[in-house]
Amino acid sequence: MDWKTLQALLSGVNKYSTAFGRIWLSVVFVFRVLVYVVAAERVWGDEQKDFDCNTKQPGCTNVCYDEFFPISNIRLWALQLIFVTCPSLLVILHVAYREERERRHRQKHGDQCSKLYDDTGKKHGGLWWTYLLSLVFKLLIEFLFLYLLHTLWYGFGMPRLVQCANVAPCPNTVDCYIARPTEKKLFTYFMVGASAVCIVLTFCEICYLIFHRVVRSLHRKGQRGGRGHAPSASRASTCRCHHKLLEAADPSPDSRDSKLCASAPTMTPI
Amino acid sequence: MDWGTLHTFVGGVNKHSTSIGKVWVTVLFVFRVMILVVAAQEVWGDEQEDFVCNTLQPGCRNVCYDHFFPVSHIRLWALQLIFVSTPALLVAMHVAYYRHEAARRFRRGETRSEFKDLEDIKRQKVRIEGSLWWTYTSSIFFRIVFEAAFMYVFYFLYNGYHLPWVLKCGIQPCPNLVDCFISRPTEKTVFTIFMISASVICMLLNVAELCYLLLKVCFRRSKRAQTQKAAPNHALKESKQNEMNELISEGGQNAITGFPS
Repeated sequence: MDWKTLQALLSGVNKYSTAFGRIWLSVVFVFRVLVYVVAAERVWGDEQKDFDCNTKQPGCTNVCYDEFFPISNIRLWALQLIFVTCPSLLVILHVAYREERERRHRQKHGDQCSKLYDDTGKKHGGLWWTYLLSLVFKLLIEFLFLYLLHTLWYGFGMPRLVQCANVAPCPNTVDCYIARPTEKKLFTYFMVGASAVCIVLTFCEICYLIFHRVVRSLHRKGQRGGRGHAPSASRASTCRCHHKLLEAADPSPDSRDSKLCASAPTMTPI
Repeated sequence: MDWGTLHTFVGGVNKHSTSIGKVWVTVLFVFRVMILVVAAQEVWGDEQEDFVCNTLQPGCRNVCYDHFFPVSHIRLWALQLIFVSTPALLVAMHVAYYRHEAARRFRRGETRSEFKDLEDIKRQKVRIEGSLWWTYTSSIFFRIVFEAAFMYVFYFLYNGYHLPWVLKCGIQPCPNLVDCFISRPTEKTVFTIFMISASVICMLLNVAELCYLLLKVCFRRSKRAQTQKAAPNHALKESKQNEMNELISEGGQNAITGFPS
């Protein structure tokens, strides 16, 4: 199980995403995951070994390291990347649920009956809300991790020297030197920058979705003013097959011919 | 997620590239990415461990290493390769958009004569013209800019491309001017020069590709202008001939039907 598995899982979301969503996924995998794997991980590789404190007191170095790095930056980024990509799985689950429902409907009513959904991947009805919610969760998770990073490490910087005071077993205020602080600061800024770009993209995508929906419903209202009842993309739960209507209504053979050209199934928009 | 995934991303764009573009991708992945992964990373693997300073003062080694190597060569090269490959994603997105539009027109029945089926749309090579030409040219321009920027950053950070075997460091907490020794300086210099040379070759290939694309457009435009100059004369001759034919045929008909002229 590694980043490739996550990438394979999320590549499926691309089909149901908007253009912003696809750009977001490329930014996440190229500028965040790839940079994390090929560069950033190695920078933090020797962080505890090369955390050097000006003392011979056994245990002082360990305790000071733990005081300043309760959780390593690199582990926090790994968690951030996993949590930020997970809401997209909600969309995949919803589409899979729709497909399963469509399959069961066909099994029950046969192939003659019209489909529940014109396109299970189209962002109409419940799927639109799921997609919007996934974007909102992504935004919240990004902000939460940026806040954590800012709080735990006193801003996004990385000092060369940290002073460890009043921490047993250190005998006095001890100077401790972090390994590669400039390189770590550079990668922290890079990852924060990439996170900011992803936040902007997610925000644009939310605006685009809402705007698109408003325009579509205004357009539909205009059409309805002219024509009357318009069909919807999802017709779940109230579809009734026309051959079952015939059977229920009139069993006599004489009236069958006149009813053969009967109606389409009744549809209720959801 | 590793260099292989980036290779898949960039390799997909290769189908629509020019020949020079294809050579560039090969040079990038064989002479830069592969060298970085199989050789350079091993050379720089022990860089801080074996960075030795002539002092027992705790923290002096860390501080001196940080002063002389604010960013490791290896990380800079990794970032350079990622940034230089990224503009190809612009082209990939444009091609994907073009195919999406073609598929939509095909489903509406507008372009049934051009493509046999949807699979044909996916398989067909997209020509570099129109708006795709601009996207492709911009991507090459950005590649050149990124290559030049990283080469300058290297030169600026390390005062040239040569690594000395001893460095003098007098930063706090070092008690005085301390000698610090880099591990494998000659090997590191050799690899630095190799990577810089590969970078220069890639830049030259990008410049050549840009010139080729510009020349192609100029040549195409001049050919079109020449065809248009010749075509109006030809069209004028044809229309005069048609008028004469009509007059002749009307005259003939009048003669047959006895219509008064």
